[in-house]
Amino acid sequence: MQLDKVYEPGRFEPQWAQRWVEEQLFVASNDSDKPTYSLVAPPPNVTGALHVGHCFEIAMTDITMRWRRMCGDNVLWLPGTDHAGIATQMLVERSLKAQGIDRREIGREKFLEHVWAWKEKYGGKIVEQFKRIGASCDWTRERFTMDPGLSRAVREAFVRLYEMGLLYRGEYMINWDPGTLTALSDLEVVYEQQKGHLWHMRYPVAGEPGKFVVVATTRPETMLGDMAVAVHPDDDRYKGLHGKSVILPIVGREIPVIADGFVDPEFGSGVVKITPAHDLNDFGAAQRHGLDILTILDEEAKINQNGGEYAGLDRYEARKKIVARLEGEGLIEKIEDYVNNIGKSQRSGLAVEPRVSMQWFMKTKGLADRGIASVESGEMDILPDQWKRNYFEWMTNIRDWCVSRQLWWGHRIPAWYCNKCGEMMVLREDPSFCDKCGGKDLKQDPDVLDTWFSSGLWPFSTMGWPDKTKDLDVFYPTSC
Amino acid sequence: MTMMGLAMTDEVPFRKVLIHGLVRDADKQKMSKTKGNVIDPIEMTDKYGTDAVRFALVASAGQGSDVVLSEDRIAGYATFANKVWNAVRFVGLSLEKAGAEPWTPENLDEFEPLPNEETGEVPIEDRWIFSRLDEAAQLVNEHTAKFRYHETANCLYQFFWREFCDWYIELKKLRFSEGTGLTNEWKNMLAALERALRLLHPVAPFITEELWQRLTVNTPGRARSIALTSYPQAKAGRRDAEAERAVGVLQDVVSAVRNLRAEMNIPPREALHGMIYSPQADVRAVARSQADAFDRLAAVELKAVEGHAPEGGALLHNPDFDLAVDLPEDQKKSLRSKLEKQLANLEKAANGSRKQLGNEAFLAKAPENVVASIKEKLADYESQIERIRKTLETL
Repeated sequence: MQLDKVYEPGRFEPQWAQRWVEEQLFVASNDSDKPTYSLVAPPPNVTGALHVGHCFEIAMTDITMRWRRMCGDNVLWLPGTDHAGIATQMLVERSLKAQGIDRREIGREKFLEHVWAWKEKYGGKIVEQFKRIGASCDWTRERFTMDPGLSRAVREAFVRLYEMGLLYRGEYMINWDPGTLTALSDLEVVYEQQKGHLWHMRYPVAGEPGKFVVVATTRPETMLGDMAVAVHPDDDRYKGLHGKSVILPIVGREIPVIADGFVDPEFGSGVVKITPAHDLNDFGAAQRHGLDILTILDEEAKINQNGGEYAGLDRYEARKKIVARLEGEGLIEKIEDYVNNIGKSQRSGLAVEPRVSMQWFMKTKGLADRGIASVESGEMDILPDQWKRNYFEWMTNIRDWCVSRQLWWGHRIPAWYCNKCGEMMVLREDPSFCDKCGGKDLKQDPDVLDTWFSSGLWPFSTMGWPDKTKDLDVFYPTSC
Repeated sequence: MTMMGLAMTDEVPFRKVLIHGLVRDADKQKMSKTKGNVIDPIEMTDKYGTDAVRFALVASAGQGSDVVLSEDRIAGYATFANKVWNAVRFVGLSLEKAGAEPWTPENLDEFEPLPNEETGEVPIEDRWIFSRLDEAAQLVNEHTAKFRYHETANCLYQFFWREFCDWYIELKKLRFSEGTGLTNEWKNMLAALERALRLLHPVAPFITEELWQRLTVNTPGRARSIALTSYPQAKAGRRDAEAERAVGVLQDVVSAVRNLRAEMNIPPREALHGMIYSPQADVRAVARSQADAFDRLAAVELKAVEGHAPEGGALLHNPDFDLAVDLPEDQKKSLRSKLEKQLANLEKAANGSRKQLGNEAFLAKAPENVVASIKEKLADYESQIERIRKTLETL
């Protein structure tokens, strides 16, 4: 028995990696007497490349899978990839832009053809890398979140959730990415500490010449959309202001002083401006006090037509000009240094704008409670133990999930609107006329679903759900 | 996923969720493109082999904790893979010289070591390695079941390198001779090697597959891949306390003599003589039966004596035995002066470190890693001083 003198793994590793796949060594049987051990691998982005984090996860998983198999289990390790809506769309957009093609010019259908072509060309890379490092997956069961079967599962889940009353559509404040022009979920926003300022601005009290209230803000440019100023109801300094109004500088609009418990008397001067269209807390306050909502920023975070002479300016440009003008008018009391916690888009890196818009949401409270109960009862285990606390905390504080995205690449929302009577229909099959008025002028919702909507179904959509399949019977719920 | 699973299937989608840490660089920094400290796993795989990359990733990760990864670490595990490769290569060459073909038992898990055809007894080192394999199997199975991948990897590393290569192959080597054909002793060795490869397979799938295929090439009915064989399990009654004790004595003696040679600059093949004192009959019996191994592995001839060594006359005190080695008078003298000089230097260096560590102003300013490295150095000086003092006492 002779071995090469020098250990050169490059001479045999690729061959073995290939043979393991070709000879289908790791294909699971759904007709076996052996104990089952199953895992549906979290799908990496189809356009991605393997990084050390993946590698670490694969190494650990593969140890368990190979060990279980050798110990006599019927092992299923189901692999696949995620269409990664926003990431992929951005990548393709960028490449088209380099060729002088604008997606808005070529339109939705043509653009999607480009994305599919891109996916066919580059999508295989990460899968090949998985194979190369020896992941003992069942490649005969490989899936992609936009496969026909999985897309059917997404549509079925959407309709069911809608029928269960867990999906609703409404105008709410969401995280808006002014770079990629879409709503983002809380998970797609990364918070960073950033040095900024706190501007103390003077708003004249209406009917009392020479008297001002001082309002502290980190975003002076949004004053164009102020609909009130607020004080804490118990703040003795400002009790005299209750029921009065102030004149919004530059704009000249008269806005009320409201008293609301959410105001922190310790922050700045204790008086805050209320900009319902551009701040989550202010949005809530406006709803409590019946204030109108005035949007002053457009999708790209530029001042819109409501901003008068500032219309068309970028938010930071407008900030400079507005502060300069207020200073000129003697309406800046002081400027303090201040460290801000700024939410940035994971994708574009730009500061996210809270924005009121019409979106689809999923109610999470009831499901989160069930999720908590299943860990408390031991039905689902989280290891190491100390992570259970994070899970509980996260599930307890979860907000309704914004599932719609203003993108083209992804699962399109199966909702139709009748242009004649305004009826909305959420359906398993595409409709040809309106349920209510019989009108044939229907429009499908232009938005797609958050990638995580399909990822959420991944453990069972990959096994053929909603059909009752043998695989689901044998391998679901998965072992880990 | 949990919420969707509950909403759509009325069940949790998975029974267990494992949270793992991040992969960080050698300075414990998060890897990021902007910092430029990213390690490309495919590049590392091409350079060092996948098995080394996998080993490096899992070996430093306690459950849920972060992993520290550097190219050096990966290179370290490539050295390990290389060690395994060379060990098997050596076995293969020796097998050819013996005029035998690769062989492995057909019923892998039932195999027990066979007796030497002449003596009718199973050689002690074969009994020992099968006992050690059994313990390694027990530990690795336990760790892997509990997702303690770092323990799994470290256990395999230690077993393969420190026991299989450093001792088992070294001992076996003494018994190889040309043209013997496939003896029972050869069968024992090949079966042990085969079992060890299966044990190592989940962590290092590639090298084990490559080697296992060659080893089992003549075995009828073998699996298509090592991945489809069974995992070694511990079995009641396989641990052999007697063999482990005997080889333990052998290891202690050989290591002590080798250390003595290193410290005293005595050439490896210059013959030494000495005494092994033990009140226990079985230890004395090992000392007598392993005379050949002592000679071949440490070039020392030992006389077994009942009882304890006289005061100051022992080189090594062990709960079970004392070891004393004779040295020529002139060697003792030159050695003594050399060691005394070394001792003085070490004392000086140690005092310097102590002074630094006693200096409050310095401690307040110095970075943590600098202080830690001084402490490490001091500990190293102190252990060297201790060792030299002991040697001086015995001289």
